Amino acid sequence: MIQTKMKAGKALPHVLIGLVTILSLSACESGSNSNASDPGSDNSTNVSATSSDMPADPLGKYVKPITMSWAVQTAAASKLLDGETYDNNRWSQLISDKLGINLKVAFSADSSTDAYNNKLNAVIASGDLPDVFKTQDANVFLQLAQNGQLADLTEVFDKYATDDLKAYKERFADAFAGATINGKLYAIPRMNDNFHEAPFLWIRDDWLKNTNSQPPKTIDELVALAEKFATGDPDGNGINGDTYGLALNKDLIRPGHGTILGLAAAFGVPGYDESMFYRDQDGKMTFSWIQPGMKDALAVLADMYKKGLINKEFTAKNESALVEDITSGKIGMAFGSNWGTWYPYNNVYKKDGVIVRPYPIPTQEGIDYKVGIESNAVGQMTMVSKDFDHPEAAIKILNLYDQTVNHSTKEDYEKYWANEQYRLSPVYIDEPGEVYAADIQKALQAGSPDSLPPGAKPVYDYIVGFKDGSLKNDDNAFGDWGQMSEEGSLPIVLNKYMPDNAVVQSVLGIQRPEVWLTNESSLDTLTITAFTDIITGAKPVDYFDTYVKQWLKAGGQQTLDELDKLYPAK
Amino acid sequence: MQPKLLRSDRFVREFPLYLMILPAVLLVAIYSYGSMGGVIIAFQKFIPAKGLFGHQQWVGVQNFHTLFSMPNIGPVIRNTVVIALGKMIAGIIVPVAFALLLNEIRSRLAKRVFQTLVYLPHFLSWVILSGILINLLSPSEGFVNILLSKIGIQPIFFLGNAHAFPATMVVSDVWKTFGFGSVIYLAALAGINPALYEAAVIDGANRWKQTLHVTLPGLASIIVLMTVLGFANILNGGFDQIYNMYSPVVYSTGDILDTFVFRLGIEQAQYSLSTAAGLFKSGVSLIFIVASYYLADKFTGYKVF
Amino acid sequence: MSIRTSTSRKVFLAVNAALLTLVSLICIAPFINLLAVSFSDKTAVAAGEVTFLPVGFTTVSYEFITNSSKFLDSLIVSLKRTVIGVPLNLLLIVLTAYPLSKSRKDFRARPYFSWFFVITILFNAGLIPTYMVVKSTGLINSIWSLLLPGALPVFSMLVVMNYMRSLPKELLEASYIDGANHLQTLLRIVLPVSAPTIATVTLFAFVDHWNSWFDGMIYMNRIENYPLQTYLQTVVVNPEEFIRNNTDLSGNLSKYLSLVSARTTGAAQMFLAMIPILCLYPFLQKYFTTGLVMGSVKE
Repeated sequence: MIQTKMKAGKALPHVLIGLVTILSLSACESGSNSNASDPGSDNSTNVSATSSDMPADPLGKYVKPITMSWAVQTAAASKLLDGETYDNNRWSQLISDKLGINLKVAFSADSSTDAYNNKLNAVIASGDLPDVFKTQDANVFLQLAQNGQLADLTEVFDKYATDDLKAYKERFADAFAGATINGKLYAIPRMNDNFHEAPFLWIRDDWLKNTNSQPPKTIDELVALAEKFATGDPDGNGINGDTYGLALNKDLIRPGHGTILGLAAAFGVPGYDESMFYRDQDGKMTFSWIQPGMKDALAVLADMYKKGLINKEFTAKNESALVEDITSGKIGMAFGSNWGTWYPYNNVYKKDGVIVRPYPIPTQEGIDYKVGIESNAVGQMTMVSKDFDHPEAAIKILNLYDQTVNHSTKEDYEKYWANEQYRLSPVYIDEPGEVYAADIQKALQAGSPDSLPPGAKPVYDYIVGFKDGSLKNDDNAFGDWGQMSEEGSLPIVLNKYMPDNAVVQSVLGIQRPEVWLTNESSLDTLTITAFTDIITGAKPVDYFDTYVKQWLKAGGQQTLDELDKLYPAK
Repeated sequence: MQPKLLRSDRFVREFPLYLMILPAVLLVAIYSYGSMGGVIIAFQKFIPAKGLFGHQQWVGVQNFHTLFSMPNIGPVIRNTVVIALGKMIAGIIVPVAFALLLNEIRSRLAKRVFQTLVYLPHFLSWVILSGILINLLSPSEGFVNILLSKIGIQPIFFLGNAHAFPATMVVSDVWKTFGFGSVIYLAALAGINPALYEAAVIDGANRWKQTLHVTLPGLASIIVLMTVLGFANILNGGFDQIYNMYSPVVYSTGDILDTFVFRLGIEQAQYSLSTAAGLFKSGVSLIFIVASYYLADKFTGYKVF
Repeated sequence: MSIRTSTSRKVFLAVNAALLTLVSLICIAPFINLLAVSFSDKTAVAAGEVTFLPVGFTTVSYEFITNSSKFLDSLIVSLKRTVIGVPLNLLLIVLTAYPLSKSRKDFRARPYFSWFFVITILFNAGLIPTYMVVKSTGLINSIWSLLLPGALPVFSMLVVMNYMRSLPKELLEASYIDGANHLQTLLRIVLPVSAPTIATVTLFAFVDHWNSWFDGMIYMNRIENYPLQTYLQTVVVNPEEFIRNNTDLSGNLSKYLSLVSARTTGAAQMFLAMIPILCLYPFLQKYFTTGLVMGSVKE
């Protein structure tokens, strides 16, 4: 190093050469100093990562602890208990004790609004990624992978993953394929089935009872029930008409509570979110929201809105704001996702002791209903920065997670998984219980958890506990019961939507046409604005035809053509 | 009377001045000029991993082509100008009217009380004001709509209706700023020579005539000045205000250049496109600023710098 | 001016007074409503019963907030920011305005420096480049990211510079003849006579620091490091989140869940954030006015 500087310095004045020499000397000195004072970090790399002939220990502890920075998604779900902090909590302690990995929070932001996404994008712009971080946004993942900013996890996964994890990889092959680009695994995908993402109709028990009603089976019955709720006195407070019929939130077609997904489904429109593409019966590539059935669905909604059966100001309420109305008891019926008893209806249960229950979506006579779900290839991706020296650490944490949550004692399960505590682990397997929904159905019928895999047993106990009243006031028990018991949401998919052949899966994986990436946000806005205008009566129902034309023209048609090539029919 | 200084003398005398100004020069050089250098990414296919000074692919004006072929860029520019112009016009008429009316109040105490009350919103952030407005303007629970319904008007979705949104922005901006904006006109009113009024009274002019022939001409130059200076903000729709109150439903009329740049850059990670849009805004604004300052000088002899 | 008041004049004066009263009420009513909501029972608020007086008076929203670490954290960040930021602004304003107020004869480089600063007003680099510079100077997630990039408020500096320029020459010359150097002259002569302008820009700096929220949102990586207004912005965007985040299952805050709502706690937080502005309001009114008039209609 000094030599090259000296050579380069030949043409320079003597003073400068001297200066350069001094500078480079001191640089070398400080460099060697830091090496000498910190031998462990290099050694542990050698032992656990670089020496390929030694068998890798999936749960081996680093001799010299390493540090891993990660991005924390804060939200309703990531509650901190017992005075813990994001820096110091049950998971950070466990990971430090068992693996010698010290977690450091790179940044934290609210993932229930745009805040997390925005913060991540700002951090990406600066080029300084956290060691481990998550995104739901397929575009962000694709961009990072293509720009070479992500660590290739192919090898470390093969070498460090436990056999259990490797089994997951087989079971969720589609998800792993989605996280793989040009043969390289660039992320740990969400390991879960997508079937549970279908929409349901959630109704308050007490409102049905107070109005002497049955859950609606058809759209006409739904409208009739909404009318009773909106104009009558379902909450029994003596005032007619201070309640809503059907609740919507302003995002309309984004999964969550207060969507129109269930109503669209009744008219044969398998909507999931703003980017739901699929092949129709004739094998033609198409887009959910331009289906002719959507016009009829919007007509029903516009009519309901006009009659005052829909909360007037839904255009100003995001899901979160809607939750306040749900909790305060103004809302008794809304389409929503499967996790309703976890959130937001747990608030109603806690406050009033009232159960809000999922029902299959009502249908329209003469139309085959269709429910839309995401492609298995997309979903939350957990990525490792290319600049992180220990990509295997992410796999080790995943091993530890699997062992702690899915193969361990009930105490551990409650400590590390329950109350959404699993989110404090930088890498986790998404909601393990849901994976076992079908198994749990069988076990509940048999009345014994013996046949269940270890990860599903605690769920069984919670459900049984809720039913026999011993866990009546436990949030986890209520959540699991409303999701996975016979009366829960997931069996509706297993026992009705699937046998009816109603489930349609989006083809849109990680690979996306350029034209879609550029126009996605303006097309999203176009769709939501058009639907909102039609529902609120700002535009006539026939405006739907204009919307379809606009959508096709503004890049939609081109997207369909490109997708047709990108995802050829099987 | 000063003797001619030698070069070195001069330097010794001026050296402390350089020292004083140095810290500010350094900070401005880094944070203002440093980021001005960063606009280069508007002409690149910027990949963050390579760093600001890394070898980025040069694409010339391609980002601007992409930008101007986006379907919403036209509406965004139109919305920006419409909202900014609306705020500018209302932001002159209302404060002038208020100053004229306040000027008619003879009681000093009453004047003071009115001023104290109407200045307040000016000092509060848009975060707080939008929090308050969102509640006040809510269609079902909001105080404004409750009032409207009492006089038989259907609730209006001020923040959720694309037709009402721009007007809501203009009116709420005027609400925040008009009181304080009137200060300058009150000062100008106080500066009008009382002799002019006396002369008018002798000519038999009533109050209305006095206002027309003495007061308004007295305000004319300051009104012209504020109008001309207002054009410097023609592309400033008011990010703080709109970002905290808008939603996708009103993008068609409420999305302005600044919110567009923010969403493009931070929500969609299109760094080069976002910077290109920002550069477009800065460039056009620069022309308007320079022109308005020039006109201000020409019409009223007012030099901003 | 002695004009006999005619009947029409009397009518006009009465109507005018009524109109101005109405306008003033429109300006102030939302804040009274906010205060009333923050002290009201949540069911009364939800039913729209609260106008200008609390209904079912309670301080439970304030209790809830003072138990919330997030609000207090952000309050401390904002106080820190203001306590460091305002003096820093002032220091740089004075140190820059003084040399620039010299004539070209006394400070030859003055015009170049003037343009150097003025250009930053004329041209704005935009969001992403600015972020990257702040990032590359290592300020992300540090309170200095809120202080250094805007450490010299150029407009305020120009106001002070103009004022200093208008000072009588004799004043300064006398000081130099007494053998005082620039720093002594600045401290002993210029600053004392510039007190009203300094007061004005101090208040500008204070209001700016207290009200800024965007920089906090962009540069701070941890919610604990958000200044108050940035934190309030998250409450405005996602009101329900605040309640949920602060009522964990084990915490003693859950008892408040049935007593407070997003509306009441939001109102209480906004009102608390207004208090410093309200305290300084008499000064703000006085000096902002002089500053504005000085800055805008100088001869």
